[in-house]
Amino acid sequence: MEDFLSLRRFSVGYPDRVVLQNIDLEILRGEILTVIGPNGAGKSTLLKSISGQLALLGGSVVMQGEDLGKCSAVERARKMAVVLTEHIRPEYMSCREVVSAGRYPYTGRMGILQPRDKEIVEEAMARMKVTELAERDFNAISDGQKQRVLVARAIAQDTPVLLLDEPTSYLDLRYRTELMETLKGLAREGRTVLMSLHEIDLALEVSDRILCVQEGKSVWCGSPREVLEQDRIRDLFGMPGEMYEKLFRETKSRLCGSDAVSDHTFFTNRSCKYFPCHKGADPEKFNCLFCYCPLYAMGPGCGGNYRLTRNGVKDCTGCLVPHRRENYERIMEKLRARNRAVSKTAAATADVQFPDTTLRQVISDIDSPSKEMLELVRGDLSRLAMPPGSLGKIETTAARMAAIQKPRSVTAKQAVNMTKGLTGMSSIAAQRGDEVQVVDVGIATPYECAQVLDRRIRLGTDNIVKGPAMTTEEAEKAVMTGVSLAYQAFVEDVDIVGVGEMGIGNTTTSAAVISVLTGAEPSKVTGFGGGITEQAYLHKVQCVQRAIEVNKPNVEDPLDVLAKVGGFDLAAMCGVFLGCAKYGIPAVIDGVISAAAALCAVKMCPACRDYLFPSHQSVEPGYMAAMEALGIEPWFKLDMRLGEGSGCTMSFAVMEAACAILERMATFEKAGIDDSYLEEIREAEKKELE
Amino acid sequence: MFAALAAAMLVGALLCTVLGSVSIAPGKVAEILLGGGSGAERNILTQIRLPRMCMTVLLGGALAVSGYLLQTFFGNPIAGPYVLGISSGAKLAVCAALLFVAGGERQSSGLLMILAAFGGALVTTGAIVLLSHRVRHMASLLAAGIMVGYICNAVTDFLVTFAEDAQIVNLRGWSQGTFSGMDWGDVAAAAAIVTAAMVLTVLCSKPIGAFELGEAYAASMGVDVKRYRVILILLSSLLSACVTAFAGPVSFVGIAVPFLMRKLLRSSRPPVMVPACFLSGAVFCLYSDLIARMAFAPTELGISTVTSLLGAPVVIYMLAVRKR
Repeated sequence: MEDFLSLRRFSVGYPDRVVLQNIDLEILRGEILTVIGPNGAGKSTLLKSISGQLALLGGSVVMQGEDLGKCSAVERARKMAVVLTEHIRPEYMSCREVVSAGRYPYTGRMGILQPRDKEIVEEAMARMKVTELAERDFNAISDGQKQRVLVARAIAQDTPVLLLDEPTSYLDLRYRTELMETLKGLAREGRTVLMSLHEIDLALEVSDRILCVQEGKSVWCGSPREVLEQDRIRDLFGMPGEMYEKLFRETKSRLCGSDAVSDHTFFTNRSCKYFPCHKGADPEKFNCLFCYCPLYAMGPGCGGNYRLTRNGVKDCTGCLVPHRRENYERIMEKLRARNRAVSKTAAATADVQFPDTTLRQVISDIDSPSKEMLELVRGDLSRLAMPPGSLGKIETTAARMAAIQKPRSVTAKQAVNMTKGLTGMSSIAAQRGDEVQVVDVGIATPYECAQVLDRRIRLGTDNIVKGPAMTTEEAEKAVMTGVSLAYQAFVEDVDIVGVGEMGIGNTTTSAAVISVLTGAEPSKVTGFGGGITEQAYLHKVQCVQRAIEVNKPNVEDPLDVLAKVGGFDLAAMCGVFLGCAKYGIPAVIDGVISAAAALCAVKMCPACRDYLFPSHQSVEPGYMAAMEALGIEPWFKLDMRLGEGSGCTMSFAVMEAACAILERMATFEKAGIDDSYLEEIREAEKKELE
Repeated sequence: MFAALAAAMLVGALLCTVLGSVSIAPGKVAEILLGGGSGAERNILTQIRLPRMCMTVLLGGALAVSGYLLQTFFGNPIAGPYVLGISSGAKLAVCAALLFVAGGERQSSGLLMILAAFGGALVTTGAIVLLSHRVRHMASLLAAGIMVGYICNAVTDFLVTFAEDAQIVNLRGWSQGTFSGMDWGDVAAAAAIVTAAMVLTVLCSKPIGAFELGEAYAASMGVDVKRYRVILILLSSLLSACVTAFAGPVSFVGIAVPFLMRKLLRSSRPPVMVPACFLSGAVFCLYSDLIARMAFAPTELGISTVTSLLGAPVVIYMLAVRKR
């Protein structure tokens, strides 16, 4: 990583107007530097001056020690390619010809393309996904397509520096995020990307550094984190504080908040000072792929000095196996060995005397609640002092609850929370007095918490994009872990079980499972999860698609689906649902992951459905797909997506109310009301039921 | 495509030599070319028809290529020497030269006319280029070009009003545009200029192609824009000035022909377009000249009359179908 492109006492503007002056900036190789600023701040002027399109008012652009102002046009064109904002209308040029124009600085006198040039052109087109447009007339394609072709042209110019003036204009969501991915890829290859963007969130996401410009003021350059920490955007755009807070609070807390500490996992530690992917870190010191030493889980044996930095990054220096990329395979090998050891001990230390049974046995044991009981309760309900059906779903719930259990007052005692739930859920549960049991079925990150029941199958599943998440044996073991938890609840006289979870990346596995079991398109059932960006979303959809393509799960065999594209949490939750059905405990479905698990359970054993109760409607698109497949309608719409079983507690209240009416509500006889006028409605309802 | 154009050119060339107030049978033509034939027919052919035919080919081709270059440079398919007022500028210069330099001599030298037309064309082009940096929209640039044309015409008219008939009799004939009255000396001069310009054009076809993407992109791809801007203008001015000097202002060939070629070849790449424009410009002018000579024989029409009638509808069609 060396200084690569420097602006020295750089002043830009027009003969009659200085826009920005005395900029000194060192830009690194492979860096993405984004210029942001309000309209008219001089973003384009700055970029045009760097590209040489505008004459400089002062200073110089130096690239690898060479003053670009003194280069010939062709030399400069071999160093820097541009995408401009202006429209071009070449007559009768195919898109391939436009992209080929990028090879100009390399071709001979007559501009004839050599085979190597053609290869580069095709590569660039493939990269920007415009290969199928190659023969089309450039003027006949849409603005978004044109933009992609122009970016491909710049890529084909094969320069160490790419200069893009608002490259996202005209691009729709998908191509915008794909373009950002492409740019990141180019940066990883060592190309420097300099661009201006209007989309601040996108800029914060992809940039290594951000350059804030404002006409007549001095420029400021810093990491996205610093931009947020110092509220640069508010000042830059002169936003009212309230507006700024509203727009950027979330981003800010995500990128630099202290609660970022709680999610320093493999995938999402954006607060890591080397995020993304430790680019810019000194490779000799710390260049592990993730933000903590993966060997830490091996206990104190890693030999490194392990300390939590202010950013919540676990920094491991002097580790036994130096955290360099070259060592990645060795590190992973050790980790795998450790995982194998953990799964053995987990099996040995099962602490509930759970009757020795098999999944097959559990499934065949499950019966639907008796129809007679259902009828009986309906009869009871019709004698209540109210017009039939006026309590709506509470009534039907009462009937179903009564059919499952003996009619009695119910207090939900326990929510089985599959992985780790010490935040939102616990406060809601505490308010209601519900118990929360947190069970760990496979947290890969090390932690210390006595309240968590350790039922780890192993430390994290495998990457479902590359192969099965786990073996079928492991899947069955996870399901049986869930059944054993339901058994435990049964033993402890728990009235209702709510099944939630917390995990990272498990909306992805859920989407995959739901997609397979319902036959829905991955894009239709994949959502934004706990709060990811648009491009991460697209990546997620691709992951789901890949996972299904790679693993080819058997739709007829839910266990196979769980093993191949699911996760330990899904499998265990599926087991809890099955167990609840077996032991006659009403079980409440929480969010999308819970719904995916319930779907697996019902696919394994249709009778299980009668024990399931909905809660809130998750905003995750997969949720509704799963619920429709289950034939269960959610009760509330609270726009929740936290998970952790937080929605379940709401349902507990409804279910308690349902049981309460059976017990406490005065019957018509007791109230002494003549109810003959209701006879007709009862008749009608009876007919409807038949 | 090129074969068809070449064939059309050969047929046109043959027709041009065969048809006329005295028709000469093709067999006769061959005989004369081989050195035989009677005096009158021989004279008609070698002194009138053949030089005229060669000139038509050269100048027609030059006009079309000049139009193509201007269109590429301005990034506008309607740009052309006539539309941008370059022809009018040349006319003004020729008029001024006839009046003030030649002093009304009837035998004004061809060289003077060429120099005057060339100078006039260059000055006007320079003015247009300066304007093109001031105005962002090509539509307004075209309007500006037309205005420049009007100014030049007005000045020309002004000069003509106060000139004696004898002084401007040449101008009258010249400003209508005609390929008649060419001798082999003219052909040689025109051939030298056109050939030189064409060779340069072909050599510059790579940067000319880069201009298709606009100047800013061209510069970013390593084209020395300032240099090629000058070269391009010099080339197109040279070509159109050459035509204007020898044959007077010939309208619409510069616009209509490159347009038709682009449409037919579905390309605008210089290596294809330059020869195609040259050939088709030659063909267009050969047949236009034939019509000018033959349609109302013995009265000869001005070449612009024919090219306008043939070319203007093409331009109108072009404006109508252009997508904006």
